[in-house]
This record gives sequence, C-alpha cells and structure tokens, in this order.
Amino acid sequence: MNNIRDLSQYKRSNEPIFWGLFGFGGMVIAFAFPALVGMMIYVGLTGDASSFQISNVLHTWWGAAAAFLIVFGTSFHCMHRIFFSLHDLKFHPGKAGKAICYGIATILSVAAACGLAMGL
Amino acid sequence: MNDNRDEKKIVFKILRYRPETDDAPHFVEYEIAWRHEMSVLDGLNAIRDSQAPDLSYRSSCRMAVCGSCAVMIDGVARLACKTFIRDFAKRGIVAIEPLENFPIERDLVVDIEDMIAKLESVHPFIVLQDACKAEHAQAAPNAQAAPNAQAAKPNVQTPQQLEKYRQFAQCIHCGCCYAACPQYKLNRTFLGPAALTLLWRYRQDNRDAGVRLRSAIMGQDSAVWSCTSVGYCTEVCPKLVDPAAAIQLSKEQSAFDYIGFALGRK
Repeated sequence: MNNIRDLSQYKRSNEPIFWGLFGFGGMVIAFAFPALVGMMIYVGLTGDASSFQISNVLHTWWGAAAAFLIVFGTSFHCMHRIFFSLHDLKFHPGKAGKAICYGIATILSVAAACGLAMGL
Repeated sequence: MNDNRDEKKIVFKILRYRPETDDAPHFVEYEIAWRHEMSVLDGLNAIRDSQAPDLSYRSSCRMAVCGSCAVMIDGVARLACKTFIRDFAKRGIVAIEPLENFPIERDLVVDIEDMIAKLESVHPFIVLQDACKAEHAQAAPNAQAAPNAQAAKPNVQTPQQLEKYRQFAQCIHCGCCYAACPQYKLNRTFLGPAALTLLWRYRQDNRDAGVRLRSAIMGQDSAVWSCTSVGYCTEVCPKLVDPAAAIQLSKEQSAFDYIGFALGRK
C-alpha cells in the first residue's frame, strides 16, 4: 500500500474549473430558459416583440450583464456536455478536443461581451 | 414430498468457459425444475448438483450479505441469491453471464483483483490523529509529534454523525456497480463507484483525521472527475448504497477543496 503520509503522489485535477462552469451554466439554463422560451413562443404567436422592450433592456448595464451571463454559462455548459458525450460515444478527443470545445465557448462569450459592450 | 402442482420448468442459458478445454466463452443451456421461492442461486446449485458438476460460480451467504454471487442476469448485474427465478418465468429462459468489465477466470467466476486493489488504494480505515501529527512533523521538523495522544481518548460518535455516512458504509463489494459503469469500461484507471463511495464514507466520518489524504485522492483525474454521472451504478446496487450520490457529493467537496488548493492551502 502507498505511503499514507506522502500526498505528492496524488496529482490534483483541474477539472473543478470546468465542472464549476458546467454547474453554473446548468443553473442559468434552468432559471433563464423557461422565461426565454416563454417569451419566444409569445413573440412567435403574436409577432409582437415590442412588449418586452428587449433592445431597451440590453442597453442597460444590468441587462447586458444578465445577457452575458446567460450566453457565457450556456456555452460552457453545452460545450462541456458535448465534450463528455463524445467520450461516452467512444470518440476520445483528448486535450485538443478539450481546447476546441472550451475554445468555442470562450469565443462565443467574448463575442457576446463585445457585442453587448458596444450597445451600452 | 413430490408435489408436481408447483413444479415448473425454466432454461438457464449460462455463459461457460473452461480455460483448459474451451477456446472462447460460449452459452450452454440447462433446463431445471423450479418453485416459487427459488432464487437464481438455488437454480445454479440445482444445475451443479444434477447436470454440470464442473460448473464454477462464487457464492457463500445466500442472503445478500457477502456479495460473492454477483453475475449478469439477463444483462443486468445482480446478486444471484437476491434474484428470484419467478421473475423470469414468463419468458421461460434466463441468461446468466459472468460480471461484465472483469476478466473471466472460469465459467461465472471473474477476476476482481483490480476492484480490490482500488478499494484498498483509498485507505479504507480510520486514519488516527497520530498518523497526521507525524505527517505534519515530517513537513515541519520542529513541530513535536504527540505520541499516543489519540490512544488515551475514545473515538466518540453521535447518531447524527453516524447518519452522515451510514448509507455509504453498507457496500458489500459485490462488483455490480463496476459491471454497470460505462466509464470503468472505457477507462480502467478510473477508481470506480465502490472505491469512491468508500472514500466518501471515510471522509464523512468524524473520527477520521485523514482529511488531507482523502482530499488528495479524491481530487485526481482518475477519481471523481472521471465519472460522467450516468448513475447506472445506483440502479444496480443490491444494497441501495447509491454510489452516484456519493460521487456527486464528492465532486462538490472536491471543487471546494480545489479552491483551497488554488489559494495555496494544501
């Protein structure tokens, strides 16, 4: 059996960062998406988006921050899910796959941040 | 008493492998008479007694305590002693195979060495304060280790403290969860459901002083972070231990541990 006092033999994983973002994104989706889907159904049925005044909300700092958190959380959640689903489907994308998946999430988040910042 | 009213027939389709004569595992069918109260293990005993005296399988307690008789019954990892033949009566045939994800040794006997090694690797015993003091003494040689300080005091535990881990201490190491785990199938370095549950059980034990050790083992890539929360381990567990819950709780704990680690605390 391994020496009980030698903790250097155990290498700590960096996965908690991505798991944390995944968890955060899951919560964002659970909270925000029912409302967003409800709004989209309403707009789809009535063809009238003006009652929500979305464009006005996005020009405020708190509206922009909320929109950014939704895009940021959702993209990291989804890309994490896609990465691990690939593993379950016996494609093992490895470190490159991880970089691509989280890279896409980062690009989406940065793009959202830039777009929202320009609207302020 | 010869009571034919109660006697029905069922076919056991058993995956057999005798390494000295067989090239590969193959199915052999045996028809047996069964009664309402017979378990699959009783059926295996009947086959060994009357039709195939060389049939190998593990069993001991016959009452879901020892964990020896886990096999794949109709593709699901179950204890043969806890599964009744009557549940398969309608189809008239039941497939019995050795536990999945383990190498076959002979017939229904598998080599569970890897699981045992993993259970041992999580240090499944209470680490005493003394051992940790010695650990700190090693890190900082000036600090004095207090020898046998723990030995003088009893290890007290309230019912509430026991309740924190009692469910996770019910594991009988039957291997059903390893047979069910798709991650263990893909990645043999994964510590697996039973070992991680055992690790969580000791981490939750107030008498245990090895928190840093448990945290270090838990935070590895091959430990909780290899689990993708499929949850099939919990479905097949014959003792209702819920390994998936233990792993999920461990992930949460390990994420907090990671923040401490990132802030420089080991």
